Amino acid sequence: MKHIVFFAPWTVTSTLIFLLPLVRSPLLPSRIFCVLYFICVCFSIPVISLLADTESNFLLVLVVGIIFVLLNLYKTQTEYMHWLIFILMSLCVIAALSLKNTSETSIILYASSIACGFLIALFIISLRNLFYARQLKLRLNDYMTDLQYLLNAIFDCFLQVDYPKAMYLYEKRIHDAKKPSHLKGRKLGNVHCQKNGMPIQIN
Amino acid sequence: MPKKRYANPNQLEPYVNYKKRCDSIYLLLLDCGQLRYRISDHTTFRFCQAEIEQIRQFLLSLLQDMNHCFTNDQMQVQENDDAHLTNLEGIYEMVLQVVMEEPLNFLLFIDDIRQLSKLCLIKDG
Repeated sequence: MKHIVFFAPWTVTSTLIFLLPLVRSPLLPSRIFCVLYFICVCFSIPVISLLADTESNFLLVLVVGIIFVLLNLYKTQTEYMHWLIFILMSLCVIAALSLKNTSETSIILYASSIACGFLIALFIISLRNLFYARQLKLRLNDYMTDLQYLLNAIFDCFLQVDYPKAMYLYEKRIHDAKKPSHLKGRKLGNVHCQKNGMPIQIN
Repeated sequence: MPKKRYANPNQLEPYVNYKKRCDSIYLLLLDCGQLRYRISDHTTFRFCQAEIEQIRQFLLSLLQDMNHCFTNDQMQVQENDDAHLTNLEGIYEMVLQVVMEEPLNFLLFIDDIRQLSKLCLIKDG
């Protein structure tokens, strides 16, 4: 029980760190990114803790922080994200420094608690993928229904005899049919962009 | 029948392709709709009213088939007979080309419809 309470914050922190890429890229690229994080966190923290010298703590924090920022440069475009990751990783390194005089078993326990966090993050990412697939299907279904409505509205203009007299009415129908389709197309486009790790479309 | 799970993001790819197709259909539909501005005399449509109605039904059935296949995870559409389109082309060659002031616009419309039907019949596999 004592061990669980002691290592739980490590698991929670590592889960949060592994989930960070979800902020910008929720699907496939984030998994690769998670693996990178996993390798970095699991291996760097025990190694740093063994090699750490109390006099150069600040330098270590700085160097490791810069490495993680550089790792994120190709994925995240905002400075905010760089700083957030920098702060979180720095906190991890500071905590790791306290491991300097601990036994080898404790270091393994620390590493396994971080691995637990990684697995939890992977599970959350998988759930998110499932959610996205269902959302895509529902939205595409609606999109297709709107396309059918638009098709009817357009062909009514050709077929209805009173079109020249009631042009405004028919144009309004097309406008109404066009708008939801367009908006749904945009929403789906956002999902597509997120899948490919691109920034979300605004226009 | 076991429920499909989409744990692998690569499985989203067919949906993204389907969405691209829907976008193309949307644009082609809007292009088809331009015919109402391109034809100055609306009475021209009366010459081919039955054919246009048949084309509407044909396109609707294609879209419904697409939607049906998509919701059943088949990701492919059954081949449909495009005889209605051939009928309209026949009408165009025999009647509309002679009667209409702007026959080229109708040709563009027929081309759009043909592209639209081809797009609906693409098999994603």
